[in-house]
Amino acid sequence: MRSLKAITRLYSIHIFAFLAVGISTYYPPWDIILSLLYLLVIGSEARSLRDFPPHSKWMVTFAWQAPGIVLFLLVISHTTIWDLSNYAYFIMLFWYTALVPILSLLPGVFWRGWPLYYYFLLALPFIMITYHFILSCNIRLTNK
Amino acid sequence: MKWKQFNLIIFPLLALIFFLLVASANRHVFSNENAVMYTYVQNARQGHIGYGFNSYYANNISFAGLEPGDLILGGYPGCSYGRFSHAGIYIGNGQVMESFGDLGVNIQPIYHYWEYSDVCLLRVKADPVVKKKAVDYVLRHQGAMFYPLAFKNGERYWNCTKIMWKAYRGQGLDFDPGNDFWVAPDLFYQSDLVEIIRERNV
Repeated sequence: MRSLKAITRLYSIHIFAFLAVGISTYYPPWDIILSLLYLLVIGSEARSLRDFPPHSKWMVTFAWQAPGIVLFLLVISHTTIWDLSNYAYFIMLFWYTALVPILSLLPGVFWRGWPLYYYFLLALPFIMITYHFILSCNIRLTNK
Repeated sequence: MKWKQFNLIIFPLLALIFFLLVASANRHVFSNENAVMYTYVQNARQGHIGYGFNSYYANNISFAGLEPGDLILGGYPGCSYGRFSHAGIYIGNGQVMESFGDLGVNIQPIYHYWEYSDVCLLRVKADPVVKKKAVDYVLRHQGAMFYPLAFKNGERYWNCTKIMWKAYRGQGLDFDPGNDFWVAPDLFYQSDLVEIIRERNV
């Protein structure tokens, strides 16, 4: 039940951040500020899972990033059926709108035919899983 | 207010604030029945989603006589934005600069426009110096990010029409006098600032 609540909170934050950041791109650089705020809020949500058992933390994190992982798999499958791979990339851009302002700061460098932001967008599900999981761990810094 | 409540409330609140700011600054767009967002919704209601049914339609249009700064429009059947779904600017040597999802602002061979069912070549009615400056502007943004709903403000997100619109607007030619949120490819086709070199529909 606690896990379900945590997942619902993450989805709620993600969807409203998508709206807020998407609209704020009209007033740059507010989009960057909101994007950083999104990372802070997600970080604080992750910290609230510190007392969860590890398997619950993983479940929450993966459930939250499941759409991103499915879209990632569709993109790299390069399937041409119904142009699914192409559409998956478009949907992925929308799904990660909350982080798009940060990607837009990357230099316009091409590597193996694709711009840098393309690789970072595809990596975002895994970057966010790592970010969320690390912050949800009960790490204490102590002075000896 | 506890941080847990703050986390849930902050983004709905910011979305509302920014929506009201954008809406109040753009009331003319909401009252324009030809605005891109209304066109999109109307076409979506008829089952036209995204850029339509893409395939290789082999329109085989001739690109002879194109000059740097000319515009190329392409479209598939069932496109939700209008007749055309894509746009590019000719930069010479058989190459076109355009903006697309996974490639960002990039250079492509012009022949890929043969894949569209609808294609149109447009000549901007401007001095070659102006057109050269527009091409230079676009070239400076190679590798920049594509975002489908890129608003016209700012220079970090682009879609295929915004980059062309901005390149020419910097030279005093505005292809969107209605000042919409977005520029549909069809607006270039309808503009008085261009003349049609040739077009094909297969």
